[in-house]
Amino acid sequence: MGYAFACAAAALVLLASGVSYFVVSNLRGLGSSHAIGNGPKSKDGATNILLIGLDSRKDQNGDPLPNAILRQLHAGSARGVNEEGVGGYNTNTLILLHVPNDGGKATAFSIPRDDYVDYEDAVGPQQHGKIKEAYGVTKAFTEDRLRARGETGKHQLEHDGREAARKATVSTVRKLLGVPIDHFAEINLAGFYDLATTLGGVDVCLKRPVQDHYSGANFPAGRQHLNGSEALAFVRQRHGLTNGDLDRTHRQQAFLASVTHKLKQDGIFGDLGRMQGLLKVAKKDVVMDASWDVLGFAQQAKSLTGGNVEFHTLPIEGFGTINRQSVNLVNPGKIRAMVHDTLDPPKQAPAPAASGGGAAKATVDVLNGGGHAGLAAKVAGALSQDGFTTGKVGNTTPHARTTVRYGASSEAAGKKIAGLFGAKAVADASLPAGTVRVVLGPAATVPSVSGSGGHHPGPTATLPTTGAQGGAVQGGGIPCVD
Amino acid sequence: MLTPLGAGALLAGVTLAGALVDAFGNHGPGLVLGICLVAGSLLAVALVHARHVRLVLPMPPLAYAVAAAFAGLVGDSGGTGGTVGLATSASRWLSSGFVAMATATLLVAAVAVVRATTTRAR
Repeated sequence: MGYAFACAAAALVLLASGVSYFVVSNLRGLGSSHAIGNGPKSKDGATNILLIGLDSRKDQNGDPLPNAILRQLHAGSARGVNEEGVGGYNTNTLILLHVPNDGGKATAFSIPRDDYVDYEDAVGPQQHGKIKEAYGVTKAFTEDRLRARGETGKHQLEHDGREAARKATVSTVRKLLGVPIDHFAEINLAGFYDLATTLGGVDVCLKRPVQDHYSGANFPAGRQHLNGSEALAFVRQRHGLTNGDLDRTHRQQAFLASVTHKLKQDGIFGDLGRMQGLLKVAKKDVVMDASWDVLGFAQQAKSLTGGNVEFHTLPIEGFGTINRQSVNLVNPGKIRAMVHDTLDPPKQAPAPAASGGGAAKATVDVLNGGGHAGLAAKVAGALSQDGFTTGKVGNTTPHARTTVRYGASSEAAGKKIAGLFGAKAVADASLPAGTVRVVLGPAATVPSVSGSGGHHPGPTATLPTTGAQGGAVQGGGIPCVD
Repeated sequence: MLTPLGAGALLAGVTLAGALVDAFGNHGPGLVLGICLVAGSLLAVALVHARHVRLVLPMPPLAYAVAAAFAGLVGDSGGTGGTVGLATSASRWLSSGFVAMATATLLVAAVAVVRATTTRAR
């Protein structure tokens, strides 16, 4: 009897060990990318992870997803993907997840996909643009270079193109946020769908009913259960939402909050069958960096498995048009300061911000008449760093030199800005009161401003709770979103 | 020749020695524990009295489970807080010993079969 019991116990240990070995080996197999490189890493034991949601209709080999899946996803057809280029390689979801070492609350920052930024480690002539395009632009140029060198293998081109694209995306986000990125995970459209399906669907909550034929989102208000394809429509809808893309960002945050809530509620970490299902999804649809010990991370990330996570959306300064594209204008210095102060709040109470003698209250239009692509956005960002409100930003007809005009009650601001460009401020009654308009000439450069900016975070930066980017979305439950 | 208890003690002693080395040198169950488990299992099955050789068969996994728990809790206790933490830690410890456990069990089974056969032949 005792011998039989010992044999059964030994068999059980051996079986559990075998299953664990299989799971751990599979998890190690997920980390296939070396794109993270030798960039700076977190030093305090915390982990920063960049979650990349790729709006690609192709698999890792560059082959279109099967038609049946594309239909489920409302994502065109395989023919459209191949011949008409439906869906590109936009990183429509970029979320930096900060998991502290002490098991405390995790913090996530969503980066609006249309933020106009300087790229880092991007391949090719385009070195700034929407942050979502750093991936696709770099991939395309990398593939062109490889083809020029004689590489013809489709899978090799896809692999190398994506690796370069991941590096550009990780480096660009690292530069924009000013924090180290320790690991990343990339998931494609099918991955979202498979994840939600494997979990048995997710619960979400909508503040108002929505109907959108582009994404297939057709949901009533209130809390509801969505299957895989409905969940994908939920995170993809942007038409018909008050704040468009920014509301979609909140949908993505709500989806992730629901997933972590479900993992906790259903005890999925203890359910071998569903864990295997999740592993299968991860192997098929997720790419992670090779240096990531996922099981070790799971131990650290108790806050995530407990739903203790807060989602923020990074602020934008306004909307603009650059190269005939609608973009979000951002102030990198302000973003870095906000991220820094959210992760490591200043000990002292913030001092009141300097008013700038009234000059900073003016709204500044910046129009590029000099032909340097992207300069208007950079100038607008620098001026907003100096406390000015960003107005209209875009291109205009060519101008020989930089001009600064100001409307009623904004003479001080006009003169201050004109001084930055070595120009003369001219009153212009046709401009609205409180507005300064800068038209950049060919010799114009980004002015040095006195604001906090640069790489050194200011002491008063807090993430906004109002405006288009909205307040924080709390994990640990089912948050209601627009 | 050892009694079954003696063989068990031998295996446990050698395995725990490996666990001690790994706990302080490797921060959790590792290679030394695995090698000690295989060596201890071979010694135990080779030295136990031929009549009791089958009793060694379930010993390697059980010895590993105890030794790995010791090495893990002493050397790798950082992430064991809470149910999820303990479960993931236990998974890591178990997975790291699978190859050694399976090897030791197969070797013990092979030696046991050989010894049992040769004893009957005499």
